[in-house]
Amino acid sequence: MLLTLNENQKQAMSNLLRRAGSPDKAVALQAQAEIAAGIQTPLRKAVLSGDVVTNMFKPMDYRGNRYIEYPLDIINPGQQDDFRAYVIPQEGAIPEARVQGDFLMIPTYEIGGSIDCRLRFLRDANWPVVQRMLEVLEAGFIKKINDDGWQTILSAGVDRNIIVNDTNAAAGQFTPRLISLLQTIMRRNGGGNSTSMDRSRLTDLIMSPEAHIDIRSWGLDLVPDAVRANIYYANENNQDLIRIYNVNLMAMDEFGDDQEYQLYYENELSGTMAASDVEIVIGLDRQRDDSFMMPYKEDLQTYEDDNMHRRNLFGVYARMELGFAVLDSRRVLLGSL
Amino acid sequence: MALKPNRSVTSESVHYFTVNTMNEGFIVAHMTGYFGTGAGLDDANQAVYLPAAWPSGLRAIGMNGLKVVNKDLSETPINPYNGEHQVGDKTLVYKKGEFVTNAIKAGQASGTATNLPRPAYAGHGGYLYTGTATAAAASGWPQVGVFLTTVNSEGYAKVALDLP
Repeated sequence: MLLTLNENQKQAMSNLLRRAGSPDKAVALQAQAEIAAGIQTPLRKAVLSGDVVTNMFKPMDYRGNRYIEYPLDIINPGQQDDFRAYVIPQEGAIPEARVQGDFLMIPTYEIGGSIDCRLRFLRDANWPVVQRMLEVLEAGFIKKINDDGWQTILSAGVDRNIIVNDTNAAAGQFTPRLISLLQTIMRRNGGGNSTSMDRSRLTDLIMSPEAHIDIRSWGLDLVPDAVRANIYYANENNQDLIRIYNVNLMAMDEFGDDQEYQLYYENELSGTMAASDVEIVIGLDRQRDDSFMMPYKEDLQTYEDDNMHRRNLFGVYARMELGFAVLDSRRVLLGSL
Repeated sequence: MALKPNRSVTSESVHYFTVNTMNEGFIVAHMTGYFGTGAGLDDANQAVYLPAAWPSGLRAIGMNGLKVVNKDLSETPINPYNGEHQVGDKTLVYKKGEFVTNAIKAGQASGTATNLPRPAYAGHGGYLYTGTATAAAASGWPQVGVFLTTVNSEGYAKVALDLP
């Protein structure tokens, strides 16, 4: 980090360095402590939100396009029996069976944000304030995109009206049986039969950190001792903790009892869980890029607000235009524990 | 109903979501029973609506600045040319400035007998009324500004809006 000091600050730093070398041990130790604390600025740095959604959705560049259209299949899920072959007599015309297509469009919307500060603060702050302001501004957009994306996924899950739970488990306990039940329900409710192409399959399971760490508490009634030993010695990125029954397990801080997305599910979506269960888990089928879409019409553009300079301020604003869609709710399956 | 291009905007807000369809130029009120909290920048409880009947004592938030529609967006796109917004999305709410609108109740702010500037009140349906002390004010309708002109043959008049 580059330190640029004005004259007063240079004098203060010189005094501090002289005191750090003082023959008086008490004075020297105090000055040395002040130097050590002064290096890691700014203090009490907030931890900003990171991206937890764009690895779920497929970003699609629609800049320059007015409409975002996706064609739908000629038959809807559940209509397969309308096209079953049947016995026919020796004479007579086989009836017609008309199909037609359909399409849907994904609407986009604009989001914006800004950040500004006094010019005097920029001048006297003695650390790269502008860089940090841009980080905060960017994090604001990341947080908004996280929330909108996951709220779309949760809405699709609620719309499907299926919630899976392990009746043998205690409330709030994550069990291997919950994973296998989710796998079965995902397969059963995705259509097709045992030899169908493109059958639904549970590929990812998102849960709270508290649920995820239940794995370390699994007893012999849930997993064999050899597996328990592996789990005991595994770090948090070990396969024994992040992949079970060929399903990727992911812990997200926004899920869990009384956490942000759990509250959104309960309060905004009026979602329900099995009696005495405390939190939801989200199962996804991400075999194909045919459902989780994030089209954007305008990428994040950042501008400096020149009008603020006259007011002794420095400001930056930004905006982008994007949309979210879960085009096939069969790719989402909710569970509870 | 619409706003003419001529306008002088002093203060506007981008913080309000919508709950019903409405055209530009109408006066909107805060949705009853909705209470935004904190900064209320992305708060679904910061919502405005167009009251069909303006009850006594209901305060005005501002003048709606965008056309709010209710379309099936899976089949019909939002019109990108005229600033349409889907109901449930945010709208632009003008709070202070001068605007030329035809959201004026028939018979109001008309005729050479009207002394200008004349108080403008928000009333039923979000229309603007001049009224009299015994009518508009007695109904408990809020004054939202003043009429600077009387209505022309198309029904437009200039209003100076002044809302907090």
